[in-house]
Amino acid sequence: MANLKNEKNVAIKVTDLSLGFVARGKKIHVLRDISIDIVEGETLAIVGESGSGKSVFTKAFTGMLDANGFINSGSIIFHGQDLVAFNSNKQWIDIRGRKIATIFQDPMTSLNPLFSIGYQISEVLKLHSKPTKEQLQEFKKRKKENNKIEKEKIQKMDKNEKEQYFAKRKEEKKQLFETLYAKALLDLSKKDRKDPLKLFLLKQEVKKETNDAWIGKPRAMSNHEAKKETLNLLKKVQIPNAEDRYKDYPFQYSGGMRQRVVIAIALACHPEVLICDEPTTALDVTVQSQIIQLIKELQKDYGWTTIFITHDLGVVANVADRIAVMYGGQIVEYGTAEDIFYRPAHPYTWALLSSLPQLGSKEEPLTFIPGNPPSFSSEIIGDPFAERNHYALNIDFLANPPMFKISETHSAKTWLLDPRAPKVEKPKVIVELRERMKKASDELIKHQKGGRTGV
Amino acid sequence: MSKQNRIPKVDEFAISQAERPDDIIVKMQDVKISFKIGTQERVIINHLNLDIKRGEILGLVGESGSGKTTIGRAIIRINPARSGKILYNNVCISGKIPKEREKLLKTKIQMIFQDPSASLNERANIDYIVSEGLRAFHMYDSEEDRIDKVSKILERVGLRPEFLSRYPHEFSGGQRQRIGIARAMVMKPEFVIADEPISALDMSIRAQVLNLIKEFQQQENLTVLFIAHDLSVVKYISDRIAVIYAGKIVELASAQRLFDAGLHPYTKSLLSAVPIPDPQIEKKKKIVTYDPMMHRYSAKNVPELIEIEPGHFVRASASERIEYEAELKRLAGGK
Amino acid sequence: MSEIKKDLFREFREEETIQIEDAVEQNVSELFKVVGTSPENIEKLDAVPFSYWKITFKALFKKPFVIVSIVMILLVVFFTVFGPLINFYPPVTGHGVNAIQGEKFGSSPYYYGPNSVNWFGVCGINMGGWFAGTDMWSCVWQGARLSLLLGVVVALIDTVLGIIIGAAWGYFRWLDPILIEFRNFVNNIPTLLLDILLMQLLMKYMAQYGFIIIVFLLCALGWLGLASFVRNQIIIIRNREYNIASQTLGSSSWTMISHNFLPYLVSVIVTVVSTAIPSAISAEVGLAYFNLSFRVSDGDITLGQVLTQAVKDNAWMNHPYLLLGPMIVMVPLTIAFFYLGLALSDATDPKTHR
Repeated sequence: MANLKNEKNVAIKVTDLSLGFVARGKKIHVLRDISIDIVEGETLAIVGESGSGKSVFTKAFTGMLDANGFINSGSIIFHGQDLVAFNSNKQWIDIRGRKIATIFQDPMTSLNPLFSIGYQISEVLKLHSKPTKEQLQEFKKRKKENNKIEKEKIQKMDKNEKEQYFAKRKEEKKQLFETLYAKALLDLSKKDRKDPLKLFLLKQEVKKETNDAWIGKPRAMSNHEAKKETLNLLKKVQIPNAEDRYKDYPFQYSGGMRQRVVIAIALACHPEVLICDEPTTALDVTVQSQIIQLIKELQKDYGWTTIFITHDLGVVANVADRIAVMYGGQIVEYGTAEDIFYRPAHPYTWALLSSLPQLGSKEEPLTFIPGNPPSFSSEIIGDPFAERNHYALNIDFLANPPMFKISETHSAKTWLLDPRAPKVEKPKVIVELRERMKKASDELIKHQKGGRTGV
Repeated sequence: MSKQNRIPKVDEFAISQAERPDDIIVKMQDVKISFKIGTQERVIINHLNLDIKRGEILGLVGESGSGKTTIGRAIIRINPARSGKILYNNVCISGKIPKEREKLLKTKIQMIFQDPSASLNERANIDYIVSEGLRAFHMYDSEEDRIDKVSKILERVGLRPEFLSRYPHEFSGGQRQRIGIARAMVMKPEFVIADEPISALDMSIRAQVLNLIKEFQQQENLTVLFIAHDLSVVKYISDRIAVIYAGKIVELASAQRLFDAGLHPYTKSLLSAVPIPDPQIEKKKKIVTYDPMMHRYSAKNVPELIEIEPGHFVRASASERIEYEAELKRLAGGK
Repeated sequence: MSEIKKDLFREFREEETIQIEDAVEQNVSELFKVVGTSPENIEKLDAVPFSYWKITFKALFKKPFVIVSIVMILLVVFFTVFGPLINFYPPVTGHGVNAIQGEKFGSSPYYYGPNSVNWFGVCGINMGGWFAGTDMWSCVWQGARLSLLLGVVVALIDTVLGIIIGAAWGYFRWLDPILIEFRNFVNNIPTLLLDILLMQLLMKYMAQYGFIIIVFLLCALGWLGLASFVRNQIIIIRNREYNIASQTLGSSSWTMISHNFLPYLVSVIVTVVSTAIPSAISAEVGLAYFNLSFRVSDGDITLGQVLTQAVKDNAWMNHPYLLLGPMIVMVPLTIAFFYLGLALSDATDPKTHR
């Protein structure tokens, strides 16, 4: 029901997805009937507390559910394939990493501490540039035909012509080697050019390359090509001194830089969809804003679809085109960023916005949501938010509300939108939302311009 | 183990009403904190001077690695200061101090930790965790009295007394953090160091913990040192804010003044990074990055913490002082 | 709310909105009343209270082989206690009494396979020039008794010492360099050499104490392994926040060791303890081969000495039944204890609980 008009292309279409886990012998249902269309090129932010099921939702896109997870019903359509129907790892290899890449929360543990950063990125590049089976088969076919043609040609020649022909071929091959080698040399840093071992290794690589290029065989990236591309990527994610830091290990990087490296690895395969699972939660506020800027810029350059998971509404305001608010395993409200921030409709969204300290004032205590998110061990009857909802209706405890449409882009799943529901007074913060936002931003905006700033 | 009350009899830290000259509860003078790794010494904080007023909430803001956690831990003597003096109610609590004083200090200063899952002992139930301090000093008359104290404090943080027999892993992050607060508060301290208490919590739960800290501060007349890296949170809860960069305090002012007229470039960069929950404005945001090289300090141009207006301190060299004063005039004039 | 039947909605819950509407129409005003939240319900815990120890217990007995192991150990213990009461001949009387027929035997080794009288066979023990036939059944169970006792005592002492010293080693930093040097020293000297030297020393000064000497010997350096392990674990967890919190709350060092550290080491300790018992028994066997096992009073024998007899002069190659007895005791015991140790360490590891 989060269907948009078909002007834009839909990258991922999720319909009625329900999934759960088997824990201690019981089946626990985590996600219930989630339907949403993710449009190509947009940034969708999924907002919710820990325990709302947002990470599990995106894990289903890459088949990374834990071993005890199962998908109950529903479908995820991506490129015409239903990802729910995949049941072997082989089917996922083409999608995971190549088409859908994920960035995780903790940069400390996302990288392998035993290998240098450069090595890790190069490995990914080489892996993903490996020729596919079809390409190799095609090549074999072509090679067979070419060999046949060449054989026929040679048979027609006499001895002298043959000698000339082979000499010419040898010369051509040598030329090819020289060109490739010269090109490869350019990629080496000045220091490395004086290192005889590195030159020797480079020569070996280029020889292999020449052989492959000579017979037209598709090949994966060689080491020096991968290194060049890695340095490119590192520069693109704004890591200073890329050449020197190429050899560093993850522990020598700070948290923000590690996260950038993780983004670089995700970039390496030119994915179509990038899933960011709380990438900035573990980072400081200053680094956070830098990483978010980076993701935004890269999205502009590469044009991929971003799914951004977070519990921080402030971060969301920066990146999101559309926002989906999740609670208790369901999407309770979705809409464009402006819909959600300026015209929130679900009591949970009200509560989330009211609890922002930027919108609070010193005289009154901050509004907060009492209680805890529902644990899925017991079955949830009715609206999962009912027991913490200040505006709960009787019917909330009995029946799960359907999705009510507010506008073309905005819908919310609450009985309050039912025409028979009483009119409720929104919380103070929501009523004064625009004024408070303006006040908060006025205070902070003036620091973004003017004064002595080093940019 | 004697059953008597083990709090030292003489309260060195007690001072009469008359003796409160400037009402400063903790005074840090020229404090140096460093870590010894093998033979190398890594200096985190050097020549630090900080006064914390009684009854206020002082926010200490900086990024990771700036040394803010180290300051908190130095006051409570987990990473002791290597040189300089820390005074509590004008009594020295840094360096070598008598054991009695050290014990007494633990009843006056308490700490709230950052990570709710790591700061509670997973193998002990809530009763033991919250009453650990009470047991150490035997601050109760009988078992019933102890359980009564623990139950009362749990109710004050919004949890139910039935939870005494439960274990930490059965609770959510926010509840665990509240248990940590209860554990610190049951000792009835005068000074609490809150070391990034909300950084590990979800947005919607932070509000509850913040309210709780504020409530305690108002009801018990606590002094709180609130360490954080997020300015928006700190502004809501603090009276004054100190900004720290690379082990040095670069700006100190009342919360509102810092936001109205933050002068130091690092403060400005922190302020520009605060997320504004308004999509239209946030998307056009320009982040200001801080480059320490911009200061061009030299032997002649030494920066110091100067009071540029009453209650507002900035680290500036003589030349920068002139610029800041001009900026303040501009801001005042512009209004 | 009580007027509205909850069952009604259970049916409609999964259906389309339209069907819910029907049920709703009847009770509109009642249903759409703002009720809000109730404070009691808010802070409830959904999880059933569950304690670490209960789950450990359950996890332990999930594995069937655990019960088998326990049964094996109990069987061995049973026979150790009651075996000698069945079909018993005093192992070696020293008067050359033949266990079978009450006769002295000549100057050649004498072996007899298992038969209806001697269930484990007969082994001739060299009494210096002549051989006395001994009933293996009696020997083995008599030996098992002493060996088992030895194993348990040594394991217990080693464990207690190891935990205490290891905990202090990890917690009090000034102990660290001293004990590390000590450990390096001990580890660089071959154990056997050390044992022989110690044994001779002990024999010189404490010859009359027999059993206690061996206990002393095996305990003298046996605690080092566990202590080392405990120290490593403590170093890993001592800087965690909950330990710092305990410090700031004023807990004494020993409170911290007993409440903060040791519960986390249960998994580790349990593994080591359960392998310590068979290790001690095996160590005694090894020592017995070098004649270092304690000199027993008449009528006593240890398992090690039984095995030594079987192995001497390659007797067992011609008479394999000589190994039958000792193996029946040692093999199940070792397997059972090792397996129990593994199962316990898995069960007590909280990461396997969820």
